[in-house]
Amino acid sequence: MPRLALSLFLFLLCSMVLPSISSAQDQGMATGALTSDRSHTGGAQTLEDILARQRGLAIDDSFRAGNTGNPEGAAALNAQLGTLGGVSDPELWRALRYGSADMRASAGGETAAVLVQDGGMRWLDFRAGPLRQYGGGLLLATLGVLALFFLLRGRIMIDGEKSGQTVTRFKAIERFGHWLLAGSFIVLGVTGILTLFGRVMIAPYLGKSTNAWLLVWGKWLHNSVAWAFILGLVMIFAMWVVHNVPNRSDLVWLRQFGGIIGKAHPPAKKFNAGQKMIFWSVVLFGSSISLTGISLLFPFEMPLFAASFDALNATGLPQMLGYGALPVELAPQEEMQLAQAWHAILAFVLMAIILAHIYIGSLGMEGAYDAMGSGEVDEAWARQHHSIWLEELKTPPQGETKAQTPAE
Amino acid sequence: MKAMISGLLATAVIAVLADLTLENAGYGSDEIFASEAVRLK
Repeated sequence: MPRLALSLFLFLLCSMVLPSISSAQDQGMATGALTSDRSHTGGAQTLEDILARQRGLAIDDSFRAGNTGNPEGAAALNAQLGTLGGVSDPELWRALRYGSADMRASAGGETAAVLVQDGGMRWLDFRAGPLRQYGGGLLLATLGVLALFFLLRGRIMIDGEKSGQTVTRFKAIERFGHWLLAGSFIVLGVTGILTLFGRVMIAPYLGKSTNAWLLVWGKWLHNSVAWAFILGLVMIFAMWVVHNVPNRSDLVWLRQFGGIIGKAHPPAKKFNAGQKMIFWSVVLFGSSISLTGISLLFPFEMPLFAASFDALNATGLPQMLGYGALPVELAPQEEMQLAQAWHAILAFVLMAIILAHIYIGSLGMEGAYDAMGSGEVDEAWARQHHSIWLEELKTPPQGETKAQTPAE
Repeated sequence: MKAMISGLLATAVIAVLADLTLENAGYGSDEIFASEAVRLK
């Protein structure tokens, strides 16, 4: 199941990111690739190719990717017009660029053998462009929607008076796990945003030294606090997964929009459908963010994407959707670039979800914060928002009466 | 409230412990930049 989930996430990545940051080697596979008659340039690229590339169109690069010389065809050294080899400098650079050069490095493994990786520029463009724009836009839009919702709906209050009686909603260990996860996620989110936006949002206004200081400490915090996040994720999964299995009451809750829109109080168990969606988003997105994060923490030692693409190709899904077979031979640097891109995309999505979670758990609903603050909630609140759970809590388990009777 | 403070403090403690552990294992902040050094160890 986790492998399938990871594969699905990675497939989404392919559809969103890969076309924009894949390496030159992959460009020839793009659909709708431009083909030109290059006879008048002797097979070299034409003005049409250059203009098309400037317009951002996919170019079939196979005409030059394979144009890397042929040592076998060179005249022998001792022959008339004999040469020192059958490969010119441009052909050698093409071979380096398209990954077909027979490169060997005395140290550093295959990572060091990659001298040119022009996919890096696409990744950089993606990181500096769409990732910042859409990621930042998503967070701002989420804040805007929440502010608008607050203005329109106001705070969701407890109907009637508080009962004055409280029930334990979350035990101390549950609250500890929640705050371990929440605290680390906020630190990770802030430092991640600083890392992505520092160059454009901080350096121009507060200076490069301030930005550098923030980046150095932000990086340390991000890399170190990540382990607390992973531990928190494991804790909440172990403690709450059993309460987050979907059931029929979720359909009722969803049909009534959870009472968030309108005045209804649909019945719910310990977690309602909205909380279950947040739980599974945190678990699945958080796991994927953690995996790619670990891959980035130990560079080049834990490549994830080639194997995942291979597994996806085997399902036939990318081909069925017209993406063709996904690349399964990725340069080590390309693995890192994809890991960073995926890590950041999912982090933005999760941050947007968590902003909504923070809103409804604090400002948006009276009494909700108590559940994670003191762990005690008013019975009136519990009855309105988690009526099935409250009933189960107040009904002694079957057989308890018998168990209290001494067996003689 | 105690659980919240404990959770936040634990975040800090785990971060420091993780950094020290990785530093000792040769995966510290400096070494990770020079990933070659990690490889050669």
